[in-house]
Amino acid sequence: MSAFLFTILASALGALVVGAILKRRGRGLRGGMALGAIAGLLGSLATMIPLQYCVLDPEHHMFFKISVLGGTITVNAVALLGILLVIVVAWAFALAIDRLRHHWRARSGTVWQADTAPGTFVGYDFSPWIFLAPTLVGLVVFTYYPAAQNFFLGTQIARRGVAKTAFNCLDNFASLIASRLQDAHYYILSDGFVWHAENARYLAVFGNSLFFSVFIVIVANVLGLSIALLASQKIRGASVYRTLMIWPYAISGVVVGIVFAILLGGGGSGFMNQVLRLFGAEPVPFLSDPWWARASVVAAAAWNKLGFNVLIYIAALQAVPLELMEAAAIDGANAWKRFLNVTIPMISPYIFFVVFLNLNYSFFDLYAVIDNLTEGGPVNATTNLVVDIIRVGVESRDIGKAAAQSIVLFMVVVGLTYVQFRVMGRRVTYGAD
Amino acid sequence: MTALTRRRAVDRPPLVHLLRELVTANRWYIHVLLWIAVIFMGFPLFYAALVSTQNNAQMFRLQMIPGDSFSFNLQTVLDRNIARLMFNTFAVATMITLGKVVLSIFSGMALVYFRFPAKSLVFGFILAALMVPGEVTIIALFRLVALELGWGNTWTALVVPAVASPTGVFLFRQHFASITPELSEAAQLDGAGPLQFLLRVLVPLSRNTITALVVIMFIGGWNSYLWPLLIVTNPDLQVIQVGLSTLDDGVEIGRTWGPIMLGAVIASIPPIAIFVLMQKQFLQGFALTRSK
Repeated sequence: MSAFLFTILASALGALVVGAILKRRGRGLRGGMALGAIAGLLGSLATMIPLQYCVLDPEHHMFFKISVLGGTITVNAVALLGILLVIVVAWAFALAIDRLRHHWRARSGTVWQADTAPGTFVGYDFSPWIFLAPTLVGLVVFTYYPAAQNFFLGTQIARRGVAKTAFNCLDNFASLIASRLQDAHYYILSDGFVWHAENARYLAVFGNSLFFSVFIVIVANVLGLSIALLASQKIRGASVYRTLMIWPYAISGVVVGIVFAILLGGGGSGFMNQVLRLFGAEPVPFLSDPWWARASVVAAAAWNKLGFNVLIYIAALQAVPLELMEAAAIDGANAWKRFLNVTIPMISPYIFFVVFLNLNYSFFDLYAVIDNLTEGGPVNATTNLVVDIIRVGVESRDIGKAAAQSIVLFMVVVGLTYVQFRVMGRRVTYGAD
Repeated sequence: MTALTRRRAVDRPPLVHLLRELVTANRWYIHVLLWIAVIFMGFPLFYAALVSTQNNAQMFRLQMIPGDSFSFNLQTVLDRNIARLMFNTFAVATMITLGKVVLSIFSGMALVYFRFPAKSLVFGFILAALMVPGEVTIIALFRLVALELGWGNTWTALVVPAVASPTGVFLFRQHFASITPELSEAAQLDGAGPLQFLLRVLVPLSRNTITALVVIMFIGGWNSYLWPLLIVTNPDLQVIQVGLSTLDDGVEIGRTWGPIMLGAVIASIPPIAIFVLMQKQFLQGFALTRSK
């Protein structure tokens, strides 16, 4: 009965929201309401039937508390996640239906266009599929199937090494931020920040990932561009300098982690601290203080990526036409203004390219560096999303929860890719040839 | 406005001088800054090389000249079978690279030189895999490969899941699409089949693309750590990146850093050599992935 009510409610809400949005965009209210109702219906059915309407079941409920503006709210995390899931899927349905409708209207009367590419081999109907088969099979079996399996495993109680699983609703997801005990997860909202008060480990892990990516991108790009500016000038031995600076890119994360471990580790008798002592400075707890440990990971990772950034930026700077610089110089722009108003816009496609590569690297490829430099410590201070997935899934053997975390990580990829396409599409193409 | 700024420019040094200054800025402080950058970049591995000649006591004494333990460290890493680890890594990385290049060439060929239904859909299906990094699927992949396929502790588990490469397919598709179609038309007129055309015409024309992909993929395969760490536990099959931390001499308390650093230096030589020697091709590969 409550399942029926849930579906009707989703449909009605969809009709209201989409109807209102389309009306404001100057399209028909009735069409919008119909679209919203269908999307809400499909969205709730597509998510809740596989989940067996378990989010309505009190047995699966989990809670966290938020303290905001003096008051305290208790939130049911499973219900919240269920509602968010329905909204996202229904939204996707609405967009897809709308798109399809336009598509059909535009295409009505036209035949599917035949592919008349010149130079194709005629009379081989089967060969392309044989050529493609290994790649397609490989991607289906080792990329798409595990990705889909994640969505299944995320809703299961699954242990490493055990083939059998049992349905667990959205508890694996909810347990990342909530608990069955009402007071275990307690968040304080103040000045626009969420401070975790108790037992909110996953939020801290997520924060570590964000911290690493932001600072690795800043350090590796500011230094990379500065060095490239120096090395791209037409000076004697420029290519020698370039070669002497780009090679750390080829070094593995493991070696980076181990080498920085001997540079920064070893407590007061470690290399860096002995050097600091020569200058009369106090020893720094590089790997044992949470913030210094995070900074150490950033330093190691930025050092690893710096060479690549320098290489790309040198190529970018050499592609800036000299006539533009000349014109700016004639107009009286000094070096700094020329850099800001000519160089930066001209190389902006490369900047975005490098920034997104660095972002991807710092979100997904830091495992080897962290594992060999800090092992995620002290006390999870340098544990990021990937390290935590391995912790939970391999070391604690909780495959279900690790799969749920993998899906969160996948959402990060989707978000990054979306932003990348928007930014690349809008701002950057004019500089690319 | 322009007239005004132009008039002001007359007071400045003539344009020729300004440009020459811009182009040949051979000032000493740029060289000093660049050398600082070079030292900054090179120091970590230089220090690792230094420690690889020292014992723990010399290292903690911050001795900045080579120590006397190089032969001991070398003996230790040889006893710990670094040759085996290096060979394993070389074999696995080579197999992955070879597989990726061959499969990608075939797929790129199919996507450019054949007509078949739903071609753009297939291409989209391959490209969409770029959105799924290995770290996202690693838990489910581990379950699949170890539990369902039973490939734990084999090179099959290291190589086979890695050989399908959306990057490679994209690279070759773009490259083949940039080759004039008249070539394949001429080949067909001469009676060449697709395979002949591939081997006689496309592969020789794709040398740069192949090199670019080989550089990127070989370094990636050589440096991979997490997957072998999870799926291989047999030390005889293990790769160097995972094996590095086992290069201790096992005698002293705590880690003996000399042998480990020697191992790190040895493990870094092949990828650095390839990267430095092939930086031009590597850059071309990235240029190819960028152009539409």
